[in-house]
Amino acid sequence: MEQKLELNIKKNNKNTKRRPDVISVILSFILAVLLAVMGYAAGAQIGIFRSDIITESIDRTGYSEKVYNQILADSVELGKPMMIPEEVFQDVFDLEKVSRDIKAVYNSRIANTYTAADTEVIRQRLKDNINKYAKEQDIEMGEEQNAAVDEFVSLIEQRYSSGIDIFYISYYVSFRNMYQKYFGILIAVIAVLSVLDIVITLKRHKRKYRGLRYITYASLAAAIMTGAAPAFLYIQGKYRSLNIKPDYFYSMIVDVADRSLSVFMYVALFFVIVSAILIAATVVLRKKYSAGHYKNSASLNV
Amino acid sequence: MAYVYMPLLLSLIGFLLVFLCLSPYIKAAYSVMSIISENTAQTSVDETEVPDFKLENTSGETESIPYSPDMYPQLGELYAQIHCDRLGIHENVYFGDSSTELNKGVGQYAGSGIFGFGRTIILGGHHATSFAPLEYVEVGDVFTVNTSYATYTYEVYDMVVANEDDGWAFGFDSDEEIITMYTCYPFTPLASYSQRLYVYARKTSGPYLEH
Repeated sequence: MEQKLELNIKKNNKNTKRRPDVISVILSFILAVLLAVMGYAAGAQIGIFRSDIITESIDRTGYSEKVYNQILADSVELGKPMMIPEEVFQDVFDLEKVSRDIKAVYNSRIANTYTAADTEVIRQRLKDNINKYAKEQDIEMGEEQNAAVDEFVSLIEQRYSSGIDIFYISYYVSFRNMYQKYFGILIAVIAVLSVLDIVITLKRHKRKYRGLRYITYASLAAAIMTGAAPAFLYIQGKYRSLNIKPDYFYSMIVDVADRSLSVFMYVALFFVIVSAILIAATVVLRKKYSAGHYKNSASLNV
Repeated sequence: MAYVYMPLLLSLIGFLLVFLCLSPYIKAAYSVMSIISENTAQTSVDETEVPDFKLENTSGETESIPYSPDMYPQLGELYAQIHCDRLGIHENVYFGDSSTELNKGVGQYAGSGIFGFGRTIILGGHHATSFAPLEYVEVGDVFTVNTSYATYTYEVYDMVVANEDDGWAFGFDSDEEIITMYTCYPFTPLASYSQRLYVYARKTSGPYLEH
């Protein structure tokens, strides 16, 4: 009887090799793919397509200040043919207004209600400064001069409006809108399929911890698939050598790209944590099962 | 060990499938990124290094020299300097007359001939900066142009104020080599500047480029 008990214990020894169940492996692969797609979808939603990500990068990279300096420099350049000195542009617009307008225009685009920057105050201040300069220089402002000044001020307004608007933002907004449209459906479908896959996998195994193992393999594979490619791109950094002008726009784009890629790595980390929990659960279930099985075996053989 | 090799195997199969399905798009994306990330070739000469245009062996006494394609400048290139001691003009001449060149100095219209070709050469400059002294130009003023291959002198013989749209004012119909220097007119601030001052100077010395 003791020999029989020993034989039974040996059968249940964890070193005994079992062939992997092919169907369970296939189900595990399918679940891994579903979880990876869900990971990428969620990562994009809370990363690159988050509404605040660009305004945060604007603050982090000093984008507003650089835009302000560029608009001012361009305005002074535009004023040279008309012999308008640099001091005429003092106090026409300031950094605070530029920063406010950049964010306001961006937010209006994100909300699909594009509102142009208010340039009326710029127009008024610039005209006042030019008239003051003309008075100081004893320049008679006739009809022709006033028309030329009006044309020039309109040019500065256009320059300001175009400087405030972020390059290619309309493309980003249309991608984002398209993504937002299908995100909910995608997540719901993937969630349903994933739950179905998990249920089928668990039902295939009498000993649930075996089924849980295949789910853990899927979760770990999803972590690798979600995290490896973004980590590779982040470390390799090919996107940092893109020849994008102007420099302040390049800095902002690279910052957005860095943070978006980091989000995917955090999603991969989440899958690793879930896998760790599943592994712990597997161990507990296995121990419970083994203890229960030995008890039964022992009582039968007595 | 199964927790190591099984996820690796599953993810490898996943990556392989993605690569097989999306490889044309991945390759296209990488090609585009490579093109965008290449350093674009500089089309303009580095301005911190101004070529030495003062050549002792080409002082203008030679009647003609053979033309070489190296003499023809690239768009945006700094290829000459123009001087007028009386007016105090000492400016770099760039090939091309876009705002980029005009902001740096004098720009030459790329459709006109280069110095020594025997054709009209159109030079533009801002009336507030490089060509501001043209306000005081007179008939008889001498302009010297130094290039890497020769030195030329031109003497002013005429000037006219015309509208910016008046094509005749550029002097393309001249039989001899002249430079037409033009700038916005009048020289007062806050004007409409629909007119241009055209200053014409004929070549008085410098070799002809045989071509």
